[in-house]
Amino acid sequence: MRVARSPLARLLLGGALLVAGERALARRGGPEQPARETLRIAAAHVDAAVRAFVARTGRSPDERERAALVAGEVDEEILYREALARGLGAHDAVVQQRLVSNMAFVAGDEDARAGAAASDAGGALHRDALALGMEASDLVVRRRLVDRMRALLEGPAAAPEPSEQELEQAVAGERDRFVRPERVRVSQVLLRRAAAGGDAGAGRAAERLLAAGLPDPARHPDAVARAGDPSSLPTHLPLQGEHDLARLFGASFARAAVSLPVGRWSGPVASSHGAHLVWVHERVAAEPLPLDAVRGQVTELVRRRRARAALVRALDGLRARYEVVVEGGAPEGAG
Amino acid sequence: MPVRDVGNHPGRARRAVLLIAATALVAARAAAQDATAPPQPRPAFARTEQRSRCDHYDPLRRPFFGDLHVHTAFSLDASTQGTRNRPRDAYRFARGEEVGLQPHDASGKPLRTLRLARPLDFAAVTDHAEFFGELSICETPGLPGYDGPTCMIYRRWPRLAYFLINGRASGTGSNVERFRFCGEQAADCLAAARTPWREIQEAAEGAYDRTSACRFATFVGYEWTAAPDSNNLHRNVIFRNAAVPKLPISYLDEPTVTGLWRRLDAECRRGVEGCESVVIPHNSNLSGGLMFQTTQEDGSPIDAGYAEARALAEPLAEIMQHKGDSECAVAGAARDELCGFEKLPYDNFGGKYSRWLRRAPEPSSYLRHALGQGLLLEEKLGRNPFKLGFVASTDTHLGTPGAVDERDHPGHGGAGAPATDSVPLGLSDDVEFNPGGLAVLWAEENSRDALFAAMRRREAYGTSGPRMTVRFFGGFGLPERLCAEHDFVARGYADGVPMGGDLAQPPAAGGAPRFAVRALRDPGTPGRPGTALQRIQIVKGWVEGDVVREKIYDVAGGPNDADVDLATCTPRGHGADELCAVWTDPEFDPAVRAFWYARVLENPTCRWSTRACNAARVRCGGDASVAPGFEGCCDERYPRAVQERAWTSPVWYAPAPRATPSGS
Repeated sequence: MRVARSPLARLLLGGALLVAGERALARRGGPEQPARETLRIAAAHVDAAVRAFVARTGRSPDERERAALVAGEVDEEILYREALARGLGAHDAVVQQRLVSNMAFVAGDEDARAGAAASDAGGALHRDALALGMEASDLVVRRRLVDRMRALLEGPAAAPEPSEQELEQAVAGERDRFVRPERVRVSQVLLRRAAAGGDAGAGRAAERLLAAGLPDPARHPDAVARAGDPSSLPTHLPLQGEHDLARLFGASFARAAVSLPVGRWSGPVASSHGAHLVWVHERVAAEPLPLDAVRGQVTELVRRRRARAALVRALDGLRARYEVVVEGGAPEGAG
Repeated sequence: MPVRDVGNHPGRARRAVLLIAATALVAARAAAQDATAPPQPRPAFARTEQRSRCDHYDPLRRPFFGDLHVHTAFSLDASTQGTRNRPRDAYRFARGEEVGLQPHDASGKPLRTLRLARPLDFAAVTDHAEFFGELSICETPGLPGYDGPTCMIYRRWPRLAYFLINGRASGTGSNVERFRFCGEQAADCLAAARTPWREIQEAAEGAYDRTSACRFATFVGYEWTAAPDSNNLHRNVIFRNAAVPKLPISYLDEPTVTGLWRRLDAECRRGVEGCESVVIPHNSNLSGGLMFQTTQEDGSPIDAGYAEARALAEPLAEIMQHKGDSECAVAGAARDELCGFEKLPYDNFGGKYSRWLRRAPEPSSYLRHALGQGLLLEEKLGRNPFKLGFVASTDTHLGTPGAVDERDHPGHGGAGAPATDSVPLGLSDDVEFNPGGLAVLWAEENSRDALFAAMRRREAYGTSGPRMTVRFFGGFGLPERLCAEHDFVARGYADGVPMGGDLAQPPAAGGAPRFAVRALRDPGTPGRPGTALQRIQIVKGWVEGDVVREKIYDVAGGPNDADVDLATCTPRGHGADELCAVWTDPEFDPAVRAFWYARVLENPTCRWSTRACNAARVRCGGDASVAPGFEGCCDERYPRAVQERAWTSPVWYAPAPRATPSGS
């Protein structure tokens, strides 16, 4: 008796009854399934999506890509209809403003256009826009609603804190991404263009310096720091990745420096500062990162994946309500 | 030895300053005694975070380039013009990924895309905190208040609602009321604000690189949007780490700036363990002279308490961004031929939209004026409320931090045009606006703690977009031939103070301070080298009786033969890869307060509008040919070429008080 009074038990009991009832109904054939609504994707719509693809990529979509474009069109339409059914359109600031400014344009009301929504204090323009069915035909309205609907479907799934196990799995699945990049420790000596009369001069000055016997920077760090032209750039750098070198010396110098041989002077290597002689002390290969080093990024990744999965699930459910007809192509069915 | 970063607490701050000063002094002495010893690292920052030390850690500091002013779809004035990028998209963009820009076609694909040629090192999304909650309630059917009349007005006329709310707070700015649908004590709106605020924090955490590679750092932040009578008093609030208040303190919660500082102190520093903030005012050029007035909000003169609170809360200001430059007035006190850069022709938002409200900006709207007023106030009160270092940023409303390229500038949504379904004809933004600038911080590494410490000590500079590297030191003991030495940076720190610092007292034997400044041109990207440098200037301000004097000195480089072919935008003439100078102030008076900052100028290049107008084949003048939307091309108030630049934070000098200070 005590058990039956506990709220949890009552909840479970109620749920079990519901499920059992539903199953029993389903076995008997159940109540009439609601007739599936037809969702028609116009041929012109598909053509527009294909044209946009061509404009973006410079080539025609292959069969798989074409199918993805059509599926994308179907999903957008489903989200759009769902947003309208939930009344998001009637209550969205961006949609309102768009409709009012459309109507002002139609009415030739320049002042109303400039002041957009603020001038429609009576709401007349907005009512006219709705009466004309503008809500259903306007692209801006449509994509705003699709966006809002998408966020509504994604939101709740992303919220809970991911478990340790989920995080570990995500890291294991993305070994290439969660990696400490290759690092090099270098010293560099700079010969400036201005001091040597251009790029070629700086290169020649670097070669002369090398020929004169520039010492090993590990043994003679001060002598190396005093070689070349004075600058505010560091001579001896810590062990770091290509990205870090690029911050100081530019991308092309960094790319060249990471692949130089270890334990001798190389160069000249050009940068925006001039010509450099470079000594690589050591190189450490890339290594995988432990979860704790990337917890924030992985948490975000898991959340995004969950949100996407929730959206896919919700769309699957919504799709089952429609009979999809793609004009100028084979019916896509419900799936 | 690590020294705690200067906090918001007066006592703690003073102790920390003393400790830093003492440590620096010891280091300087040690260096002077043993010139061959390698220079000692400066006092480091305190670590408040769980994270790895960066591989690139450098005790002599490196410049990190970022954007501290970024709006996304969470800002109403961004979403009504079709911005769909959310905070995580903004961070993706800052890290070098491509994002879509409005407008979008029928299938939701953006008609424009954008990618940075070089990723940023750090960024902070700073959406308008006003309406975080109201937006959620008014946009989520089922929440209490959703069907109420205010939400209906709000949904239907968002801009009207925006102005109404700001209008309520005009004048005294003391009685901003929450809408009634927000519930008792605005509880419902505050609860609803948690969702966007949480997403903002999650996006910042997700994009923050806590590994030793330190590729990218983020800050949680927001914008406090005060604009009484359409005078801009906006400020960005940036938090040191993930410890932030439960909710942002918006203009609706706190309509006075003193209240904002007080609430941040109560709800951040004292309310959440590990929470610290900096407040960064911006667009003083649109403040109608109010941003740096010498009275408090109730009209009474600034007193020592106000000066102290302001100095602690606001160590930095935005000197330039998408909506113009705030450095100096063209008609200011000093002869300054190069002041005329990205100036707006009106001094508040009212003046932009209404001819009747349009006023030419006064010097009081600019930072150089504020620095001078700060000296006068310090003389009177013992504390300088306007001790401001400089950063620049974009203020993008498209969620595109760091999009500062003058080439193919897609606008930043400053024009605020409502959403459309095709790329509008004409210039991508109002002609008086520009692509904005970058914030540069000198830090040991690219981590939140190190960057935040740089903001606190003002070791920061702003650029109008390019990534030039600028070192600036002041000190009485700096060697005259420092530019020819190989340890410029180490000596600079050992024998002087960096940008943002205070000069020590002059040596007993007398002497004038020297300033060592060195600039490297922007290395650019492969195939697109940066522009050569033209000159470095030092801007000095000092007190003479109760007036402030200003003077500008060319200290390296100078007028040259460089210009730009306006038809093709090809640069012509010569410039420098690097400029360096050690300059001794010829008019130093040890009895008067002063500040000095450096301004580094590139050779002339085409302004963004010139590039867009050329691409549209616009011709002005007699045989004019101007396509619709390109009328701004022929507006002669806006120059065709610009000299991009960097502004360092100042170095200050104050004579030692004559009497012994009573207590410390």
